[in-house]
Amino acid sequence: MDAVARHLPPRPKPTPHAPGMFAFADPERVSEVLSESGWAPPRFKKLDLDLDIAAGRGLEEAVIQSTQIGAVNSWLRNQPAEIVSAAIVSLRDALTPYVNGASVRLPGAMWLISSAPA
Amino acid sequence: MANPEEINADMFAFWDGLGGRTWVARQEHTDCTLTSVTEALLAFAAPCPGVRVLDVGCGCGGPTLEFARAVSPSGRIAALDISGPMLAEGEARARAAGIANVEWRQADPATAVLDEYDLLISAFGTMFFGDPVGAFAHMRQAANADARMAIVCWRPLAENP
Repeated sequence: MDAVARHLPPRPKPTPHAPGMFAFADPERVSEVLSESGWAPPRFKKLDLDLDIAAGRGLEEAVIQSTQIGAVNSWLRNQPAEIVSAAIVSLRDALTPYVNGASVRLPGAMWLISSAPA
Repeated sequence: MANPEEINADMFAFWDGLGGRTWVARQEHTDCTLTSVTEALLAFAAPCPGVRVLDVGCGCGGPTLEFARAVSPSGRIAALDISGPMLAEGEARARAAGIANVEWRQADPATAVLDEYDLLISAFGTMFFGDPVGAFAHMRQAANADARMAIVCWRPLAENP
C-alpha cells in the first residue's frame, strides 16, 4: 500500500469509520454499531492468513489483480496515467520480496466477528 | 462526510457498474486468493444442515456456494447483493454446480424485505453500509430468536501491507 501511496497527492485524512474496506476494522466501533442495532456484544477472533494474491499465476498476475481489485484500485482510480504507471512499478518492487515460485503470499489481517440478537 | 443516501448511491453505481464487472472478470483469481478465508468463515460459523442463511453482500458467491453445500438441500441461502453482474455470475456458477438451494437477489439488505433466517453471514460485505446501525437494526428484525451472526472483515490498513 505504501508503495502506491507515495506516488499520490496527499490524501485527505479519511473520516473515521467511513463506509469502505476498513470501516469494520475497529472492534469498539463494531461493538457500538451492533449494540445500537439490537445485537449482543460481539466476540472478535483474529484471523491471520497469508493470501496468495497471485492465485498461483506469478508476480505479474499479482500486480494486475491488485491494481484492479481492492484498496489499491480505489486509490488509483481517476489518477493520471503517469502516476498510475509509476505506482505500478513501485508496487511490483514492493511485492517482489513476497514471491515464492508462482505465488505471492501477503499477510492478511482480518476479524471473525460473531454475535446474536440481544 | 457524505450522507448515507449519497454513500449508498455511490456504492450502487460502483458495484452494479464497472466495479462489479471488474470483480466478475477477476472472480476466479479472487476466489482462489480467498479460499482459506472462506474455509475459516465456514469453520467459524459451523452451519448445520437445514439452516436458513442470510448472506449479506454475496458478490460472485464464493462463500455462498460453500455454505449452500454445508446446509445441504434441506437448508437454504438468501444471497443478497446490490451488484447485478456479480449476482448473475454467482447464479451461473450455482447452476453449473447443480446447487439449487440459493435464492440470488439484487437488493440492499439494509432495507429489503427479508425472510426469517437462522444465520447471518458476510464475507467483506458489511463494511459498505451507508448507515450501519440502520442496516443491522433492519436485519435484526428478520433474525429468528436463536439466530447467530458470523462475519469476516478486514483489520486496519496498518496491519494489511
